Amino acid sequence: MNDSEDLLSPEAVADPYSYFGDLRSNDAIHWNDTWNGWIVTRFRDVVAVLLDHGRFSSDRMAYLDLHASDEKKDALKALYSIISLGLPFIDPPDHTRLRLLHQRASFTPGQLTSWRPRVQAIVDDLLGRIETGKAVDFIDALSFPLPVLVTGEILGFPPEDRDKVRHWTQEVALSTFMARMDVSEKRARAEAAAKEFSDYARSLIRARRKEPRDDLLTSFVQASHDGAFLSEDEIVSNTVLLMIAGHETTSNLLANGLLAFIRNPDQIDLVREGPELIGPAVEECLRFDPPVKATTRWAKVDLEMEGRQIKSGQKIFLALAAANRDPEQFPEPERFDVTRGMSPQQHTSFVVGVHYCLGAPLARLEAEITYTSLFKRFRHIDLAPMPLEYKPSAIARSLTALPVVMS
Amino acid sequence: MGRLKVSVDKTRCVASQTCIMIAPKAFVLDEDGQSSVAAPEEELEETVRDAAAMCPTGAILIEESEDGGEAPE
Repeated sequence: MNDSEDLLSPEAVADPYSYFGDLRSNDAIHWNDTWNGWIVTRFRDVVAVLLDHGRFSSDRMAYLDLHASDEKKDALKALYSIISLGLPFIDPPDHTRLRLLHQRASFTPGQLTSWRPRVQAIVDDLLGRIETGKAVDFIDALSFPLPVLVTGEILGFPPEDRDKVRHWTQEVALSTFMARMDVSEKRARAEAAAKEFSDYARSLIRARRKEPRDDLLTSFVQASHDGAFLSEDEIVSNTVLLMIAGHETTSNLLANGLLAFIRNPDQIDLVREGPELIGPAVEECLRFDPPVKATTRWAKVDLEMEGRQIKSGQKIFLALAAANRDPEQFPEPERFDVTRGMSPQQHTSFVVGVHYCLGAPLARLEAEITYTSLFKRFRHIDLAPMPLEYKPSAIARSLTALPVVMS
Repeated sequence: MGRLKVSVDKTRCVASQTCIMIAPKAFVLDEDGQSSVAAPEEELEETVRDAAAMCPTGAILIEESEDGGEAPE
């Protein structure tokens, strides 16, 4: 068993698979004093909690109200007031209505098909700027800019605002992904950016109401189901969240997946020779080294799970990265294998249940196009001889840089 | 409706419950938390098609039956 109870210890950040793997073998539902909650690591338990949204809540605001100290409440109030109408943070039945309206407006696989040529053009443009034979940071060159460009364009943000939007999403991500830095500073920066970003989104949404365009903001304004529409605050909250949640996560998917491919070059060859493998290959990237290591819930009632007494109000840390390498679920889980026929339902990286990632179809599209184009354009893709480091986050699986040499 | 053959691909169903929200008579949760086909004939064909189109993983398959085909409207 790992001595450290610290999810942010350098060992756990560098190699979460060993850290969580030890827990999964020895204490699959583990009380962690430092985090002050339960850590769940087995596939079947993670899935059971995710599906049981009646007893395990995602509502961070309600949690704060019921269980946080006044000090913490005050500190988080401003930021939460902006994102609290966001889909990840509310429970059914409110969630049901909001989810349906957002999904109708946006990210079904069918609706995204029309975006394929545009995503391809953006990927080609970014790849075209990469100098061959020289060390470049893949994150800086492609995986970071791509999702901002794509999501910004789909939403309908004017291209000249790109840098502004990119700045805001980075600033807010500071706080949501809990990187270890001065808490009051990062909170102040995140709040300031969230405020500016939401004011910006609100003005665009009002403009679309007057003058509809062919973009996602307009679809949000017009989306209806059984006579219900989204409120302006709901659209603002979820627009901001779509950018923030879709940004670093997509970047992580692209970078972590590429790293897995580079370390297993035979798998690149398999995808080059069998382009139809790209779908299952992206699912395998998601399983093997997911963009987000964990998600959290809190228990709404006292309950028993596998002999553990979980009390109402206790937090649950669902280690998605550990569930994805559960040997009870996957043969040879430590092997990156694009031919294992991984399908969307078989891993937990986009969670399962009513909070299934709204942007999943878009992330899949971006990953498929990126890898296919990259493997076609470059014969040789190698790591530059530099150490790899992960950002100190308990949630995000985020490389600080991915230096590669491609030719 | 009744001319459509509807099924759920369990390897793709991620239990988002989208289809159940849209077409609650046609789809139900099974004991694993995934969607199952219940009574598609109880819903309008358009509603069942909408549920299939909205599925985030494209897990709902619709086949036209041999005798039917598309209705004129």
